[in-house]
Amino acid sequence: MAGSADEDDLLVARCAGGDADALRRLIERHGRAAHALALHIARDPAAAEEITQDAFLRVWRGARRYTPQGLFRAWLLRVVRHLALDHLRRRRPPAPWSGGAAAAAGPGFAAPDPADPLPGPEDQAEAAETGRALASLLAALPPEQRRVVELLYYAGLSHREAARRLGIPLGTLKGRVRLALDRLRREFPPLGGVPW
Amino acid sequence: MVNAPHRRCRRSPADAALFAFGSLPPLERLLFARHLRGCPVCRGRVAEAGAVADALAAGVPQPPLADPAALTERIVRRALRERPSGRRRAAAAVPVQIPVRATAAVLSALLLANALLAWHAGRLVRTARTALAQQSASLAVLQGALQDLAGGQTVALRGTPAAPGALAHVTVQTVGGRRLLMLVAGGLPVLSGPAVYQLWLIAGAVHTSAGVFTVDASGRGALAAWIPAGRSFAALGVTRQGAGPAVAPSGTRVLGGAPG
Repeated sequence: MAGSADEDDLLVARCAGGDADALRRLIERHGRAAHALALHIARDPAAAEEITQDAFLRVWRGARRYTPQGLFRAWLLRVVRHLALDHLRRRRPPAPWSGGAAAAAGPGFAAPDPADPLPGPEDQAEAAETGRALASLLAALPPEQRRVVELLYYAGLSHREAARRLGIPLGTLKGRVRLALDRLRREFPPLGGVPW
Repeated sequence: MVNAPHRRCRRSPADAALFAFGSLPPLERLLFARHLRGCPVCRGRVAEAGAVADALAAGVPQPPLADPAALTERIVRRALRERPSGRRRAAAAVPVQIPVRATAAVLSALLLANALLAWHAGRLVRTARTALAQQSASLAVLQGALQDLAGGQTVALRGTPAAPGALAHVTVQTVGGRRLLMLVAGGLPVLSGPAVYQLWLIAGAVHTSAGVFTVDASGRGALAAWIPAGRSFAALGVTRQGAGPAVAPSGTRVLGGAPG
């Protein structure tokens, strides 16, 4: 994976030089993950494509200032989440939240389509494996903990908003957050500090 | 791992997760960021929670795209339009209503703003104190946070003709290897409906949102946000976004300034 990370950094450096093929390659490597996160948060296919586009355009525009401080993929997905939550917040009132990671982890979990040519095969297989593992782990969380994670992370609610939405005291919400994170860290080795 | 030291901080570990998730309101984020500066335990917790957050982002299901090749080419075409020479960045294709010529005016105003900053400091402190007090923050914590605002890189933002009485103070500090931006503003027009104030990091024609904030009945507000890794900026601007947060600035610019 380290090699992949290095390749990402090299591709960003090539983008800084105006190399459109490097941008294509970055999209091939990470486009599906970016689009999936955008769709998961925005729940709007058209918006998800726009968000994916905007995220990669930010990579392109900012390539010359990019300083590797971690995995490019993680940075890209943080940008995608930010853009998707911006989109979500512009819609008032927010669309009802249904399913989320719980649905993602259940029967609706969609494995990558082998016929879909966007991701590189090795990257995609690894991402799919990681996604499946985490989705399973989320599904295994007690529903009340999973719901808190969904509202805070994927729906972008503040802790007060989430507590209000769930009708629970703030302290209870914090307790659930703590338990959920403890469990995710304990049972998902990559969260223990192994880069992935 | 920082499991053992966790017990030596009285704050809830959930606070670090909420901070990493971006789930704390701006004022609470500011206070927690201040706490982070002196608490390696919570910095460790934030790092761990950040890893979880990254995993959550990467762990969503990946449904098939209808036409991935078309999306790829659309992005590339758009990118090439923005930088046709492949070497220089052209004007942003995203509509931006912050006029370029205003940058010069802002730079000039910055000289005045810096001179006025000390004079306004007391007012800003009172502004933030009131705002934070409304969030039930203790006075001692509040005062500590405001004292910290004097550290790090500072930028004074002056009101534009659309908000001539507005003033803001921004600091950028490094916390756990990441850059945290904190803004305290006063004198801004009161908002209504879905409108928010949005802070932008400006680098040439590229405008990156640093977050949104609202103001109280006296026009006071605050914001704390992480600056994305590798993102630099030459100036800062605040717009009033009537329809809520935007991907690119499209509202009236009310504050602007650049690092001295």
